Amino acid sequence: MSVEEQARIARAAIEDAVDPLEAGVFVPRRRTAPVAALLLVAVALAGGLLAVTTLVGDGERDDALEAADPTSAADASAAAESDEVEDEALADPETAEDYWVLDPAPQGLDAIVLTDLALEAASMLFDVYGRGDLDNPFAEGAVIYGTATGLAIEADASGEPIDVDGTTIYASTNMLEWYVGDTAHVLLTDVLDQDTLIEAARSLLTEGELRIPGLERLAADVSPQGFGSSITRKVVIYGSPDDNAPFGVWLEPGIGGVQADLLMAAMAGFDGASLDRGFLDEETPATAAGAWEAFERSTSVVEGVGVVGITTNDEFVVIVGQIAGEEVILRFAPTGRSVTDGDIDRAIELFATARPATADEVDAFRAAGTALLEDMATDDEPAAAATGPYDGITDEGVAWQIIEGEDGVACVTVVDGPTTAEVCDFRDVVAEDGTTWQVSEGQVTVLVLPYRGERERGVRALHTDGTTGAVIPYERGDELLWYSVQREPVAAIEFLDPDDQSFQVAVPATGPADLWVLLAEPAPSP
Amino acid sequence: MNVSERDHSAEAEVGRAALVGEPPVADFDRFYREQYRAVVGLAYALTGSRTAAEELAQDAFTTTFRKWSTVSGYDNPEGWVRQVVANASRSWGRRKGAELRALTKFGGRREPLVELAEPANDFWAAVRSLPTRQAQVVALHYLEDRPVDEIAAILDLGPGTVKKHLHRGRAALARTLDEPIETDSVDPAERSKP
Repeated sequence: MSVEEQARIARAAIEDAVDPLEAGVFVPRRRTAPVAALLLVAVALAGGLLAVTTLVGDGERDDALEAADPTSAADASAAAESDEVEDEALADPETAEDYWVLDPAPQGLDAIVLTDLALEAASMLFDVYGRGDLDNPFAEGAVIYGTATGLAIEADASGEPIDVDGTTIYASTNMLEWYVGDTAHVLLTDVLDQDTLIEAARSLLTEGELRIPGLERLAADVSPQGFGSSITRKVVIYGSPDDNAPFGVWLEPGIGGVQADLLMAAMAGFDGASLDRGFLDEETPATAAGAWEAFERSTSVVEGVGVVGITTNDEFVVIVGQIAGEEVILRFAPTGRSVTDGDIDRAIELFATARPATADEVDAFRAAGTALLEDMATDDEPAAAATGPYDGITDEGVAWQIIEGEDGVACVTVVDGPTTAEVCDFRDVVAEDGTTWQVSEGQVTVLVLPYRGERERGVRALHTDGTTGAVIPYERGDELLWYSVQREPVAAIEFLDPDDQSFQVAVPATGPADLWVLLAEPAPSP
Repeated sequence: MNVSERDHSAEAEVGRAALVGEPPVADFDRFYREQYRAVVGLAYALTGSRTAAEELAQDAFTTTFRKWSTVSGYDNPEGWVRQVVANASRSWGRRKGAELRALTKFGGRREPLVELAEPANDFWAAVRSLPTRQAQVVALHYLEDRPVDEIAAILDLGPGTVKKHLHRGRAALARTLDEPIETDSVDPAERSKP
């Protein structure tokens, strides 16, 4: 079977898989004002165990994420204008009925999607619990968010929120949620089937505690892993400590959105004093320390180290956890290069011997966490500054592109502000040993080196003062790597080879103002 | 006073000062409904997980919505949201890989996500094993039947670069899937934009 034939089969499989999905109606939520820290209680119910962190409010999070916009000042201005338009549009009573989510919006949500089945589930909850006061989430004015995912993926789309005796019910694809007044939220996600979900809600609402049949088993299933989560498999209940609403969170450690929650929690610090109520099991002291102790017992424990979360991007590896009841946060940030697999391993090793974090370290982590969240929030967006057909754009806004035509002609175009450097045709610039070529144009010098599979493992700058720059590793599969040595005296670029076959490529004595090293696949033979 | 009334009254004050022109929300709704499945499909192909794909697609649409007043003015907003989800799929894979390594370090185990039946799963797994750009190009080509110039527009690449990635991706797939490379056939990617 040819590739094309297999592709057709594979395409049909994808189409079949997504065909039942309903887009529903996209319902943006209103941006909320910063609120006081909400309590996020991570509860691992295996053995009735619990961990406590503090979570900042939506507004702060929004602010942090929006402040992360990496675009230029003009773009940021445009984005701000866009947000204003969005706010205004959402605040318009003419559109509010169709596109309004009550304040406070669910933590971490920018939008929800409506589906019929979720509405049905929410309606059932409403029917079960009727209406009442603060002890009853279906008090006058309460809002319900329903869920479809996990209940039935084939849920039909539904366009409009429904109003039941003053209770507006919405639904989303991955959560069930309701409000008590302005403060309490409950999210029950697709870890549960519908009956279980309702039973859980009943226990919460009528008995003031969450008892979810089967949850203990689920927690036991996942607790040995200890961290990471899929956002689609968690149960979250949270609220403000300033009211009588129940609050708490059960998280399945896994992969996904929980990571951001953990980071936010760590950033906000830990506040055990305010955790004197909530639903805590009988064996767990209602304090942060007790909760951590319990969580340590319940989660991945390696030599007494409990890992709550680990996350990484190109710049950081951050591990959040605890040792002997004390908060430990490890942030590993290599200088001048991207995070590698080895960094992650080292970070974990360091964590295993970590000590409790000092106040300064916690502050530093919060700053780093903010940066990380900002990066996580924005690095998936196409670079706004890339206005042309480039292969990539660096953090400094330098765009680059390599074009290789059928006849072996290759071009590199580097656009750095008003300066453009462009070279075409590898055959003219590849040295006899096939290692390098370069071009200077204005203040930009481009040094292109052939990628040679698994042999080379790192590249670094050798400065004229005898110092060396940080090693930027690269691996098989990395087709291109850029390395900026901006306005630093660089004598050479050195390739580091684990088999001791390192080699250096000299940089012109005059030195470039900006030097960009691009690793490309080997040029075609002339 | 129910919440709707309260919010509306509160909003009314804001609303009076709000813009009067038609918000782009209705257009976005239409855009969302038209593009949702396809974007999930693209994310599915690039991540191998429908659950992750749905989340990434929703995140991509949320991102798009937040910038809708700008993105809607683009020539190709559907390309923009695809670029977002393609990038997000790449980031998802990177973070997932890091976390899985960490899990392994601590002795945890996690079942691999295999949701499609063979041979489709094998094919997309092979696609995902390609370098990121190749995988994105191949997925857009084979999943959405897009010609080179459209793929180039979506990924902000030059057509020549797309051809290069597509050619190499197809060759790599042929090797991975143990199929001969059809060098004498007409590359469907070469066809012009409809």
